[in-house]
Amino acid sequence: MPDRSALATRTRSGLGRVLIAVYAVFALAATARTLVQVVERFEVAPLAFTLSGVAALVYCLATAGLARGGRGSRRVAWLSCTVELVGVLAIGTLSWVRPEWFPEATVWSHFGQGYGFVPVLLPVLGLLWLRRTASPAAPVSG
Amino acid sequence: MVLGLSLALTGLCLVAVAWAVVKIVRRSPLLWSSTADRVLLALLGLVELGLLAQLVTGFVLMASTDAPAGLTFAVYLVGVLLILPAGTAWALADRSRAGAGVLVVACVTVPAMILRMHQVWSGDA
Repeated sequence: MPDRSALATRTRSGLGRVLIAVYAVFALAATARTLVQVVERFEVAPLAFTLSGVAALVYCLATAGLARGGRGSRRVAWLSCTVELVGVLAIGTLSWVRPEWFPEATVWSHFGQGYGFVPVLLPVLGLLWLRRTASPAAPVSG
Repeated sequence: MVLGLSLALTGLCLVAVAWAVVKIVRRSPLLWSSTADRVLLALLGLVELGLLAQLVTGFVLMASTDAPAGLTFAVYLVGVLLILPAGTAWALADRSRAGAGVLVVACVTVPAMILRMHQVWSGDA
């Protein structure tokens, strides 16, 4: 399986390695945030907190998918990044239009304003990186 | 929270960030075999020790005062300990300058979490 491992190495090298580190930070942040919200006061904002949980799961899957980098893992990463992009755009828009649905913030509220708008950039960077590393011809900076 | 400790840890992290940025610019990989890199990693080890001290003082403060901080604060105290070990391991596994890039991410994350801890501690979260 030389091709498979070359693909995996390519996915987690160079900029990809830094991107995975940022993803891991968000996976940790979103998971910890969800745990605290669910344990402390789930009944206050069930929708927002459920979405926090979805976001946390998606960040964990994207991190693991990119870090493993094999063919199947890349598919998981691609799906996670896509769900994440749709999620951050949908929740970002809804949190401006229908603020009453979100009495408490999620990672994706206001396009991730609470996190320096990184949540709206991450899925775009993730998808671009997956595309760039799909073929061996693409140069990998490092 | 102990402000002096937070400021010292933030300062050390920013020194590490500057160092790592220099490595990125010079396209220098992070290598355990390089003495200079071991000094950088020792600096991160020092920060980690400081974060452990912060964990202890944080829990003592939580137990001895009735500040509004609760579970969130405790999770931050513990969670911040994961960043540098995980970041260092992930950085050392790379043979390009990306390793230094990972250290930048880790060393920016730690002060950001310390800042959030202060916000949570003072109740403006």
